[in-house]
Parts: sequence; C-alpha cells; structure tokens
Amino acid sequence: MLLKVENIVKHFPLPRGWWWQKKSKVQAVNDVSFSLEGGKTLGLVGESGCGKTTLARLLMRLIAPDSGKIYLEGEELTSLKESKLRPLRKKFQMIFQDPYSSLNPRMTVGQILTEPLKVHGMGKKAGYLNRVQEMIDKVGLSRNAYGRYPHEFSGGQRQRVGIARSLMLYPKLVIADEPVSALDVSIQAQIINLMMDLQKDMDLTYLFIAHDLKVVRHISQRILVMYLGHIVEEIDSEHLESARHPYTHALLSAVPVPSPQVARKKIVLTGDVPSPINPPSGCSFRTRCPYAQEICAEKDPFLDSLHDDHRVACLLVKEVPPFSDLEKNSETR
Amino acid sequence: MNFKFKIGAWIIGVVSLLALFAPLLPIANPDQVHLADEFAPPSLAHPLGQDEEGRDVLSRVVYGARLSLLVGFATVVISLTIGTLIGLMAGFFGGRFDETFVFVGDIFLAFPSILLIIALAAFVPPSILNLIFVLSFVGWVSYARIIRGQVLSLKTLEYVQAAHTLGFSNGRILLRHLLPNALSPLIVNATLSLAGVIIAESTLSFLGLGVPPGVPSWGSMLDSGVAFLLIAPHLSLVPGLAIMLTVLGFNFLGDGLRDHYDVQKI
Repeated sequence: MLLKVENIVKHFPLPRGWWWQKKSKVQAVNDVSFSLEGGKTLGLVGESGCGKTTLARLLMRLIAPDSGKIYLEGEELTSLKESKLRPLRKKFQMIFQDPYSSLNPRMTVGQILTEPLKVHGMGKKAGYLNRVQEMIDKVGLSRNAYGRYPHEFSGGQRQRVGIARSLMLYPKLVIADEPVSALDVSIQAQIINLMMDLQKDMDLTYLFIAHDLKVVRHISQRILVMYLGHIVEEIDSEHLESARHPYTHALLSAVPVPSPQVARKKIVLTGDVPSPINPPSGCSFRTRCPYAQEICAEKDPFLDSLHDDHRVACLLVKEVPPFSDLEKNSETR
Repeated sequence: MNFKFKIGAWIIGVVSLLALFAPLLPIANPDQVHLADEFAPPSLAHPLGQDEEGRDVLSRVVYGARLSLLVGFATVVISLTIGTLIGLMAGFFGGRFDETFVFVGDIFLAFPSILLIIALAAFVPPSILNLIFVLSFVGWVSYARIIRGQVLSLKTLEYVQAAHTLGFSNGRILLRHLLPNALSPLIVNATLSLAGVIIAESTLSFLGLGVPPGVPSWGSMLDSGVAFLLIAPHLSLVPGLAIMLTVLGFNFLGDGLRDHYDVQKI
C-alpha cells in the first residue's frame, strides 16, 4: 500500500460568541480510513462542504489532524515535525483547484518550475533548464512558456503549469483537489486525459477529488463517497451501479444519461446538508434519507464490508437495494 | 501612469535634484551672514531676498530641501524595514507574537502621533539623527499593520499553500512569495507618509525641537520668520510654500501610485 489512512479526525473549534455559550466546533473530517494502492487512482466525491478539501489538506500535512495516522510507504507522517517532513514532501504533491490563485503572479513559469528543484537540490544546477523544458513539453505547453508570467495564460494552460509544478519532484502520490472544476467542460476533458497520460508515463498514484461523479468515475479505479465528514461508501468504479448507500444513489441518479431515449428517475434529496457544527445523531445522512428509520437516529453506522471490495456505512444496508435495481424501474421512452 | 503621478513625479524630481546638487548650484553660501543687508527684499544677487541676518533665503530653502528629504527618506526607510519585518512575522506566524504586536500597535495608534513625537523629542538633544529616530519610532506601526493584513489574506492563497506542500522553508515563502505580492500598498503608504514625515519634521523644527539651531530647515526658517512677518513676509512665505509644494508633490505621487495599483493588472 502506498498510502494508508487510519481514523483521521479533524474538528475546527469555533470562536465563542459569549463566555456562557458552549464552545462549538466544525466537525470537518470524522474518523476517515482508507488505503490506496500504488499506480491506482482513488476518486473522492461529495458535495461542497463535506470535508473533501480538508481531507486533502490533512493528507498534505498543511494542517495537523486531531487524531489518526497517515502512512506513506509505511512511514507515519502525522507524528513528524515539519523539519523532518520537508525532505519527504517530494514524495507527495498536490494539484490545486483554482488555476488563478495557485500560481505566484510575480514569478515566470520557468521560475515557478525551477524553484522546487533548487530547494530540494535535485541533480545538477546545469540540468535544471532541461528538466523544466522537458516538463513543459510533457504537460503540453509550448516551449516559450518558460519566460512568461501566469497572467499570460488561459485557465486550462495555468492548470497545466500547476500540474507541471506538482510533478517537478517526481512524486509518487499526487492529490488532485478538484483540479478541473474551475475549467470549461471541453478543457476539463483535456486536463483529465493529460493526467491519465502522465500517470502511465510517470507511474503516479492519484487521489482525485471532485464533486462530479461522472468525472471521478472516468479517471478512478475505486471511489470513496463522502458525506458530512464521513466516508459513507467505498466501491470499485466498475461496480458503481451496485452502490448500496442511499446517498450514492442520489449522486448517481444526478449523472445525466447520454441518451435522449432514457428518462432517468431522479432521486431528489429534500432539505439541505445539516450543519457540520451540529450534525444529526446516529447516521448523519438520516435527515435526508428516504429509507431512514428510528434506529438510524440511535446508532452510529460504520463502514462495513459488504463484499471484498465494497464497504458501506449504512445500518439498513440489507433493506436498500443496489442502484441498478432502482434503475430498472425507470421507464424507457 | 496617470496624470497625478506625472505631476507629483515632476515636483519631487525637481525638488530632489535641487537638494542633491545644492553645493554645485550658482547660489550663495546659506550660512554667509551679511548684517548690513538684513531683511533685504528680492534682488538680482539674492532672488528671494535675505533674512534677519542677511543670509540668502533661496540658498537656505534649497539646503532646507536637503534636510527635509534626508530626514523624510531616512525615516521612511527605517520605519519601512522595521515595520515590514514585524508585520511579516506577525501575519505569518500568528499566535502570541501577533497578539502582542496588535496590542502594542493599537497603543501607538491611540496616541495622536505628533504629541508622541513632541514628547519624545523633548527628551533627546536636538540632532538630525535623533530626529530621524524619533520619527521612525512612531512611523513603523502603520507599515507593520498594512503588511500584516496583506500577509493574512495572501497566506490562504493556493500558491502559498503550494509553496508549503513543495517543502519550501518559511524564510523562502516569506521573502519570495509573500513579500513581493504584499509590496504595492506598502509603496503607496511609503510615498504618502513621506509627506507626513516632512510636515512632522517642519513642525518639530518650528517648535525648536527638531534640528540644532543654525541648520537651514524649512521649519526653523518659518519659525524665525514669524517675528518679522509684517516687515519681511518673504522670510516665512518662501519656506512655507516649499513645504506645501513638496508635500503636495508626494501626495500626488502616492495618490497616482494608488490609482495605478487599484486597477488589477494581474
């Protein structure tokens, strides 16, 4: 296993309004565990505010978790001091969401890409220019990009620069936090295909975060579904149709069907996502779940194996049919 | 660059050149006393007349520009350096250091700064160095606050986060990623506060708390001219106009720079 995450928890304390009020906290990431095999892509989906980005920041050690462990190639990261961690950082890198704020506006592309090499003393100084030009080629930018500033590029091109920067140190693991959600649909496909090509070329492992199940499914072998700080389902992307968690059903039914003949019965969730400051007791999804019963408010569900490669966190998993069974009820026009 | 900036640049350019090359200009010695010609009105040899000791007013105003600009630039450079260092650290590291800075900074700002300067100046012997020190002591707070605010907003941006994930040292992130992007409001503030420093220097010299007696300074010229306002108004008028013009120049320059940076070019 390249990456192993065990029971990661992160709660953000909120400033207290008045001294008699209780201290509250945002429960951003709750008891998340998963592992990721080298060379594979793990997708992470969930709606805005469910803790995806916090999880990415935790894995990148931009913030420290409250508890839990992160193992990268067997090495535990959470207990390491920043000074010990720094040399290890070249093994795991991040692609950021917003191509407009992810590049320093006062540095040229060449400077942006050379800096990581300099800091980590990768090889000879004389070779830097070649390595940077090679990477510029690899991500499909033109050679003259070297001396230009970020504002001279379009969003898609800037994202290519961001990808190039994250790959300069030849990392093993790349965490991509919604790398395409700020881009046009046509550009999205280009960037995703670029990422898939680079994965083969450089033997990369991706944790691909997005809120769009269709995109995640295209690039990932396995998929994690996150809701309100919890992982609610983990499933092979090939078997996505047999998803059992009602929340995954709702996400799946929102993916458009590329055929005018089929009318998909949409599962529309009622209400809003509960506040992560004050999540519901028991199952956090119960307030919007069409199957919810009394037991859901009383017991906490946990991520349990249904089959070998399929884990679901639902107390009523036996009563919820797989998504494909629901689909059969959709009429064909 | 816009119109305001150009006017400001011209004024400051001319004043700076005059100050810089004062010893080379064909003007009289500013300290040469001609007691016979006291209060002489403007003439060909002395275009702006002579003062109560017969010294050439034009040459004293030009040498006064030297002093004002020297004190102004030195004060701004010192307060900018100290303020930037403290502001960068407070914004970047946060925590106790930041809390202490905000507390101390608020105390500084709660005082009317000119009163604080006068109080301090009363304790130290008048000299140009002490003048610069006193003005810098009050000046650094505004720079530190500006840069702290900049750092607080910049450090959440993704390129700064990326610098962390790439394993860059804190020093590199501060100097290469945060400082260059936080600089523009600082430059505007520095230009605008030059005007304030020149006024403060003149005020202190006017009150006799600034430069040592005898050194040509706009404030002290204004002060000694006041007694003779009815018989020789040019003694106060000339340094007063010099202060006004220079301050106006710096204000135009600062406003122009601000307008320039307000339009996001990125």
